[in-house]
Amino acid sequence: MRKKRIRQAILIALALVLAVIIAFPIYLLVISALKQPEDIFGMNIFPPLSSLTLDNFKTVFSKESFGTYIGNSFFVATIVTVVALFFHAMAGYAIARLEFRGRKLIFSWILSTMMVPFSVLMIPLFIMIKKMGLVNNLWGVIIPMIPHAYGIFLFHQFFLGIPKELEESGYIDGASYFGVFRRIVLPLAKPISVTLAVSFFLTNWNNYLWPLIVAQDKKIWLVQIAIANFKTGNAVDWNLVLAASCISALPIIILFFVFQRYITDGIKTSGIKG
Amino acid sequence: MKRKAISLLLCAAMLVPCVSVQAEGEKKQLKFAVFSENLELEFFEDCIAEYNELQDEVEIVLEQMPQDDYRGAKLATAFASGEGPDIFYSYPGMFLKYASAGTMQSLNDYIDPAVLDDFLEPAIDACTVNGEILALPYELEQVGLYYNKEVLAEAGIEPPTTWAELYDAAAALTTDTRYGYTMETVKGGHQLFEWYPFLWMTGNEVFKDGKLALNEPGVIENFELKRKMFEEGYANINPSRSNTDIGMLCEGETAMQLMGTWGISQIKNRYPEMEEKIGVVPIPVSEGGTPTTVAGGWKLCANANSDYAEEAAKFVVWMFGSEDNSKTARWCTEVKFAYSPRKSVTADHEEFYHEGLKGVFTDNILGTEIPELRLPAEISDTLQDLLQTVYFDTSISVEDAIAIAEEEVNDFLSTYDGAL
Repeated sequence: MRKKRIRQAILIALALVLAVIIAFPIYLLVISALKQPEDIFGMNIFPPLSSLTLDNFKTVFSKESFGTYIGNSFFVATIVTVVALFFHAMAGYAIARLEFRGRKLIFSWILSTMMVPFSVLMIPLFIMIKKMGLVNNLWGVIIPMIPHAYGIFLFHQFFLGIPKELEESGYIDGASYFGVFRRIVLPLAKPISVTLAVSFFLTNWNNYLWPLIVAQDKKIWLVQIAIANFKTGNAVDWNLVLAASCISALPIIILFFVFQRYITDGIKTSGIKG
Repeated sequence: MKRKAISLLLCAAMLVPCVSVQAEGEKKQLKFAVFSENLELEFFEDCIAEYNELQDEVEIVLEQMPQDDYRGAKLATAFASGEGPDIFYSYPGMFLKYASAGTMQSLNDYIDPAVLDDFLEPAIDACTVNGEILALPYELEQVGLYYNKEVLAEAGIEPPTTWAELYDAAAALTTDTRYGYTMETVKGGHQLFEWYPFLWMTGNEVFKDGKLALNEPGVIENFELKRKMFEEGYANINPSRSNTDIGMLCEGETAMQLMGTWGISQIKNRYPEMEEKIGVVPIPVSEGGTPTTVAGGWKLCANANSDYAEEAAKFVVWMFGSEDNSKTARWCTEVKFAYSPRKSVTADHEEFYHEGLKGVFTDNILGTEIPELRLPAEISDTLQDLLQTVYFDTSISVEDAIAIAEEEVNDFLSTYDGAL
């Protein structure tokens, strides 16, 4: 009994240490964002409360249209997440369950696209978007981000694990392929869908390079580009970069806390984290 | 019902950004890519407004992007896919890349030869390839050694004038919380920019007879001095930010800092309380060497592959190459402090160039500058690696590191037939 308690205490202590290691950079980000610009590089990790200020946050929002950039990021991340989930689920289901010729070939072809780095795709993709007339348009940011093998693969693996009998009962009751998919399979796929939704949202919220390449007008900048733009000329406004980073990290942290259970479930089932 | 409302809302949201932000109108629209903010952005906006007012057929629009991406992926991707800006600026580090790719429109036919005489010759030479002027310089930024007057006075140390004095001063000024000397530690074009004067002042050049020639006593001595300063902890091996930011000197992280002319505007705008406390001297010289600094800066170019290359070239010349020098003057004296590549600007603003610390640059540093080299990216990269090795990797001797770099660069040069 005592041994068990000691073991538990050690484990808790270990978890605490790990938690501090993980939380410390976030603390440093927040506390630095609250410091006066000239104190940011000071070594004072626990500054007196009286020296902290919200001015940096105020300046970020007073600077041009930071709210618009956040709105753009929300728009892009949400649309990509919703549309991608829908199509990926259908593609994953079709490959996992429907019998048709070339199914395996198509699946391996989709998987093989995961091995092509984005830097290789960047220029041809831009030329395509240009020909579609979508340069300098948020749809030019969104559309290329929707097809992705990662989601199709995870859905495929998940659907393979669902007992066929469940779907067969649907067919016996007269449901169509889509009916079975919508009424039986999709509701079962909730955990994997939430995991993927969080992962897609995070990726697109943090996406930098592609939105930057497509955007020419400041009106369609995403939040990450706006943060990078605080670095101007030879000096960087670190106070603004830190405050803006805090703001842009907030939705992600909220998302994580709300869906924490699903995220850990998803990682456990798939062995992959987004 | 609820579901229907959600789908309708989603559909409506999807339609909103479909309205393209590209402007309408009959005018030829030329894109001008900038990375500027604040005063600098205001300057370009004003110039463009003035120019657009004068034009019936042409309209210039700004395209803004973060500075790092201007030098990197964003501009490169845009040019590679034929979507590059019509007007853009370049600095020596990216000049040859775009010049060799034929991206820069020759300005020879647009610039008045009388105005050309107003430019400093080395500044125009740095923008010329095979007799074609491919860009117009509008600023010259030089480097000096900034120092904290109070800290040096307390230690009873005079600002260093030689390498030996620099070492002694850095050693004496280093404390537990402060480094004696700070220079660029991060691999990149700026580290190379800061190194050139130390090379030139010993009478050496990067190339000799078309080959990299750094195995010279003066070069080796300088590398060894810096390696020693980093090793002994007198030079700032762990700077809090890039060495383009005077903050490290103003906030007490270092007692001396190698820094460009832009440091003066930074002190004025960000650390006004330090204006009286900071001094500047020319870069310390090697034993028997010649005082030297480096002159860098951005240049304005027109995209040769643009449908409106001619209009773009005309705009570039209107900005910085017309008889009226007021744009260059405003940039170098109001927007920031930089020397002008046009002699008339320097002459017209004599008083400005002698105010405070600027006077030190004008009287003691100006005239000792050599334009920053424009190197092919491959050579620049090898040299940047060399600096990292000689400063920080004590497992290899300076001579061996130079030999490796020479071999790499000379190999490259044997097959390279572009401009240097």
